[in-house]
Amino acid sequence: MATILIVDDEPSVRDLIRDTLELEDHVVNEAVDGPSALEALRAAELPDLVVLDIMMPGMSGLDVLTELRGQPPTKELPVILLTAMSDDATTWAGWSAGANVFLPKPFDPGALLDWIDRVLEGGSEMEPTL
Amino acid sequence: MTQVREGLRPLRPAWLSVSLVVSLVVVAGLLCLATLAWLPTVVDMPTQLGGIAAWWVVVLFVALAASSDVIYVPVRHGDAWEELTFVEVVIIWGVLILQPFPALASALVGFGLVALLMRRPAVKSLFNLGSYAVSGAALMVTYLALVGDAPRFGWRSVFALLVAALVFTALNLFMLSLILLAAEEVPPREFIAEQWALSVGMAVGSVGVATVTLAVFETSPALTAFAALPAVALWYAYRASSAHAEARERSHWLVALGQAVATPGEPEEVIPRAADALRRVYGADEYAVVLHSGQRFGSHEQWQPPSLMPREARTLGAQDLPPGWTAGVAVRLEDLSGGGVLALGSKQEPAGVTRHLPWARSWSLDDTDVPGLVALTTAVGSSVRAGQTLAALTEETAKLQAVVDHATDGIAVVDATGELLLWSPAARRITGVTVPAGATPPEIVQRVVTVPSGSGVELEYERADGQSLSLHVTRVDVPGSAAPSVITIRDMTRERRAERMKADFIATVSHELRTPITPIRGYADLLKRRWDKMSEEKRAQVLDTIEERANHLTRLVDDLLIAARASTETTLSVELQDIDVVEVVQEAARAFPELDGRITIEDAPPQMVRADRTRVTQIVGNLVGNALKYTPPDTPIQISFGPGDPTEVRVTDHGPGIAADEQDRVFERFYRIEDPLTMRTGGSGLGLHISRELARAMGGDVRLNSSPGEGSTFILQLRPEGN
Repeated sequence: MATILIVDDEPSVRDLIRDTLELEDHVVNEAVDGPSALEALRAAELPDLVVLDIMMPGMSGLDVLTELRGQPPTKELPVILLTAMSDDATTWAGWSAGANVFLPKPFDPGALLDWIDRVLEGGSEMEPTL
Repeated sequence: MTQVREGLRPLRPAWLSVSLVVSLVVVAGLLCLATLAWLPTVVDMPTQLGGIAAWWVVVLFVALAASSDVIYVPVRHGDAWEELTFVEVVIIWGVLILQPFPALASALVGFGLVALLMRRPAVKSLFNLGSYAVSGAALMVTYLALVGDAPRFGWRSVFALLVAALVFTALNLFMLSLILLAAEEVPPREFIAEQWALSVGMAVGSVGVATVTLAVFETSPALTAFAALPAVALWYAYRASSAHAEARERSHWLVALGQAVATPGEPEEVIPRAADALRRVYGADEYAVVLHSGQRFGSHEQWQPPSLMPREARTLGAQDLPPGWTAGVAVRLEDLSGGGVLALGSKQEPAGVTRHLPWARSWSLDDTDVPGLVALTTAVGSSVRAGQTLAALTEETAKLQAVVDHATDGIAVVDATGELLLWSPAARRITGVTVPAGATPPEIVQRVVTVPSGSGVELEYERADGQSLSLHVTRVDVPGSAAPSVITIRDMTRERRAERMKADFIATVSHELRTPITPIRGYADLLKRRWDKMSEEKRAQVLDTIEERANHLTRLVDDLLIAARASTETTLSVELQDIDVVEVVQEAARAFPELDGRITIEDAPPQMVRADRTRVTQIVGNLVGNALKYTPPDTPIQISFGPGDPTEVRVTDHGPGIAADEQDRVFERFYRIEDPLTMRTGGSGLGLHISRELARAMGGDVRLNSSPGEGSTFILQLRPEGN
């Protein structure tokens, strides 16, 4: 059982991830955009993992990730990036910003769970996937 | 007597033919001769010249008559050359020395001999003989009638001779005018008006010469030669003067030819002028020019030149002559594309044994004239060739100029020293810079000076009016050393913007399509794997989400199809009917859950419009959805109505508003104000575009009023019912 923060502006995607994770008995928190995610991460206890969407209004997931990696408490926080844009430039930008896993939409909930398990077990020694 | 070289113009009665005139004159001549033969039997005629046997005198007269017809002086009279002969003098001698019949008969024999020896045309010779017979007989009868018994060299005799000579001249002129009218349609009045003074002078002079020489001969035969000397001197003086006049005229026409040749032009400008000058230089009556292209000049359009024409001038045979010509030469026209033939010729007697200068009776060219003629025709050819080349060049230049002036791309030409030779209108328009030729090229041209020929650079250009352009500037060197370079400036702003829009669109559509697929696929997977673990309620909720997302996906695909159709078809298909737009809008807005909070709809009476119910719902949905998406969550959105034509539905928000230069572009296909990575969610960039296209398909429109910071009002305009 882990505590996981979901950051996505699309309610149906948030719902899907929440349902998937809760069925596996994870504790789920949600944020609808970048600023509220950063706020949540500053205020409360850190989650075990963040599932972060890239394309969000105002502040993109990449900006959020860069911000997290620049702060000591969240420097090592595991982050799984989600994106509907799977072009090379975005992927490269995701890895450069310090994502542990890069998961393109649409994704299988099973795959997401696998990645969450692997990230939580093995820290950040993840090979890149597309 | 006088002969005429050049004819004038028409008005000849149809019945008047050359053969009729010649026949009449010949018959009249024969009658006159018969009269003279009969006359001595009724009239006592004067006696012969003292001491000389009459038959010797007759032989002498034949010889005198023949020589008087051959020896002549050319005199310039008006436009024509006239040949003055001693024919009248011999006839006056005859009447003073011999009896009328032998005098006239021996003169006619002399003229006839000359005609035979010179191979003159029979018709012309017969006419001349007939007219001499008529006018000679009249001269003699007049003289005899007037002189009576008076002494030969007395006042009365001289008076009688003068009158007789005038009668001779008058008859001669009359008959000449007849034959010229018949042959060349020369008006008789004009001809006589031109000729009478010269003819009367000739008659009086002839009387003087004849009587003086005869009087001297009778007094002292040894002195006769001296009496004739002034006449011979005069003859020589005339010939010298005419040769001089001839030379002067020739040089005048050579100058004219030079001018014609020195002004290169089209064949139709150069050839007539040059050929006419050539004709006059060589004293020809006519010219004809046929170019290889088929173009013809001169009066003989139907003439076919001999196919094989040597470079040298060639005398034309009867079979080669243009119609109406009796003599001619032809020269190949050199230096003309395809070549041509120029012919000079005469309508007079054919080239005879003698090869005279132009003023001779028969026309031909002297051998020494040939090289000059060949050289001059070559010059004419060169001039025409130069003219054609010039014309072709001018046309080519005009074409290139039109291309440069109307090309969409800007064109600049820079010479090897870097000086600007050309700066086209499009170059001015694109760059907003006006540069005169000869100036230093603008900076944009300097940018490609170092790139290899045939390549170019893409650069961002800030125009003076603030517009930012994407320009593609290329340079091509014209082959040849020190040759100029041609620089083209292409405005790629639209293309680049379209490319960016396309890339944005692909990113957007890809995001928009993947976003609803994610929950659909995810939930499907979850249901499959965790069906048992999920509550009944959860499963129903999940299925609702799948359905809702699938519907969203369907709408998105529909939008894409409408946008694609709008770009390829002239009108979108709509089903128009009379509907209450207020009711439709209320229903459309009900689809939005925020209706109770943010959205207020004006409480308006029914407004009937002619529109497609489904499309109006779609447009209102797009406009309201747009307002919800792009404005802060706590700001109100108002929907109001404007009755009339057009009937309006206004969707007003209190968002950030849209800048003036963006207002038109928000209706463009795939246009989004935001960066796709951070854009506010939803929307393919198609909503406003298809809303406007659909409204226009219904005869209405979608307009926008907006000012940044105050919000925007999108206005759907529809036609009222029945329209």
